[in-house]
Amino acid sequence: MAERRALGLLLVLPLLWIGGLLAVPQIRMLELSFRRKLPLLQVGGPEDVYTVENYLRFAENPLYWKVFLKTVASAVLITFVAFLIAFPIAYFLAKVARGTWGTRLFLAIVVPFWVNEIVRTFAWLLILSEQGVLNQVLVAVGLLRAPGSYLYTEGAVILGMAYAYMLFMLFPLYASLENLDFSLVEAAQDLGAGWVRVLRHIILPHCVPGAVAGSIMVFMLAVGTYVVPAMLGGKGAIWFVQLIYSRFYDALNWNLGSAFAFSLLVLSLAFVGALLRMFRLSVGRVLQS
Amino acid sequence: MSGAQRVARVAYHTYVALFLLYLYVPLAVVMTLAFNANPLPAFPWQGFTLAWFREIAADPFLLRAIWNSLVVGVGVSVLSVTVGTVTAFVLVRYQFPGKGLLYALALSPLIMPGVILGISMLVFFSEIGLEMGLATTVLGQSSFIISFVLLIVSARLQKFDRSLEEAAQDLGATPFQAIWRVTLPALRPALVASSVVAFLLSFDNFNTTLFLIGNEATLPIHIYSAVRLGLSPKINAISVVFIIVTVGLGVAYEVIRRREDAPAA
Repeated sequence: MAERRALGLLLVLPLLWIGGLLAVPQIRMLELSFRRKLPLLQVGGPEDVYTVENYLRFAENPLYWKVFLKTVASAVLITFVAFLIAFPIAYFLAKVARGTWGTRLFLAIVVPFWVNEIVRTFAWLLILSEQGVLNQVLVAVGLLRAPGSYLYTEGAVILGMAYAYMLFMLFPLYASLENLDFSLVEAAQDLGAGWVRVLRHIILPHCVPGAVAGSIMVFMLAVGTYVVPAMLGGKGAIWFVQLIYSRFYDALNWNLGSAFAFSLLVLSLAFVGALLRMFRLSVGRVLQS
Repeated sequence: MSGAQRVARVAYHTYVALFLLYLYVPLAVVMTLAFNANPLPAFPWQGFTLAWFREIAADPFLLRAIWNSLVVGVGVSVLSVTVGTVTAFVLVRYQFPGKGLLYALALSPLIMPGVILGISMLVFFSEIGLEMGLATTVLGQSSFIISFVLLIVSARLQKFDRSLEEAAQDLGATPFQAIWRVTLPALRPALVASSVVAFLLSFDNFNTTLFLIGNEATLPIHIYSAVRLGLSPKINAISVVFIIVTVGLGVAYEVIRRREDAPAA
């Protein structure tokens, strides 16, 4: 009985958190997305009915859904590139670099991880701008006669994101590779397996939970970023979160903005779900890595 | 070692070296240009100066943003560690109907884009008449930072030997005293680590904050608006300060975590 009362008391804070900061806000957002934007006096009046208008507008306007698709496709691309680049580094860190030297290398890679996304993006702004470092180097070396412009393109945004989120792929991969029993690799090699087969049948399967955890992180960050496209893409490359933001602060159409936001949420959860199903993993298993 | 193996080895090491360059060159550019006398954040080098750092000290809006970030960070840290620890106790120690659902919901923010959290709370908080500002930002950031605390603390709590608590109670401690005097001290490394992580995640946060900060600004929000207004080496100087704070805390966290991973005494 005392146990029950203690539980009841302890549950107050978690329920306030989950109810007040997660569940109720998202239900309110969902509800708003199914209502019309109306002048204040008509809110709650006969015009204020549930409707899928906002979602229809999203589906009908190519300006909206093209940006949405581009954002998703680019996020997938960035996730994949991050895996390709980070995997050899994670393996090196986990299995090749040893002792104090390994610790130092780990520290050298972890330090930039703590640098803010905005600062990292700002760095690329300084590199890619017209008076930027890249142009100066290219002109100085003689590869370029006149400085070119790289900013405000999709390419700049993708480059900036891959840079900003790379380490979110690297560390989960490293964690799952670290507990790989190396004698398995040696045994396979003794039995005559080449490195391609070792990689395919032993190392890659072993790092799946880490790769999935890293992919979830990178995809979420890439699909949900405002700063990187705003700084490197400008007006030349609009991304989905900017569309949402401008519904809220420029167009002042919170209903449409909520519909956009909810679509993004569904997409993100679908991505996570698909990844977990594909590799037959549970969220709990992935979070451990 | 055969010739081919040696070539592969050299290639692999070169790749790692290039990766380190890729990580560090952009940061080195930002930091170097903070000390360049050139009024544009660009080369050529026009001599060493600390003028841009002096400009930080003279900018009341920036100082206010830094102050706001500290206040929000401490608020988030206290709130998240409290709620996260209580939730960890509930989930590790009790069996009750709906526990699986509670667990799933408690970890759900980790697989959601931060902007969604920010937008949904903007909608809800406006409905109930809260004005956006530092308080709403603390609540908003905590919504997902609590999940991180929960992970860190529950991992430690699972390892804790409960018979120690029972022994304390056998010796006459009330259940509350036993937790306060025995369990919490044993959890201290996890509590310290999660306070640091909570502060860092808060100090770094942009996506959730963007929708909840109202007319105020935190440091990341301020830097973003400053970049939009025009490039200046002052932004580089702010970045240097930002890097020092977050990297310092990040490394501190890493040290605590490594000590924590070592077998507990």
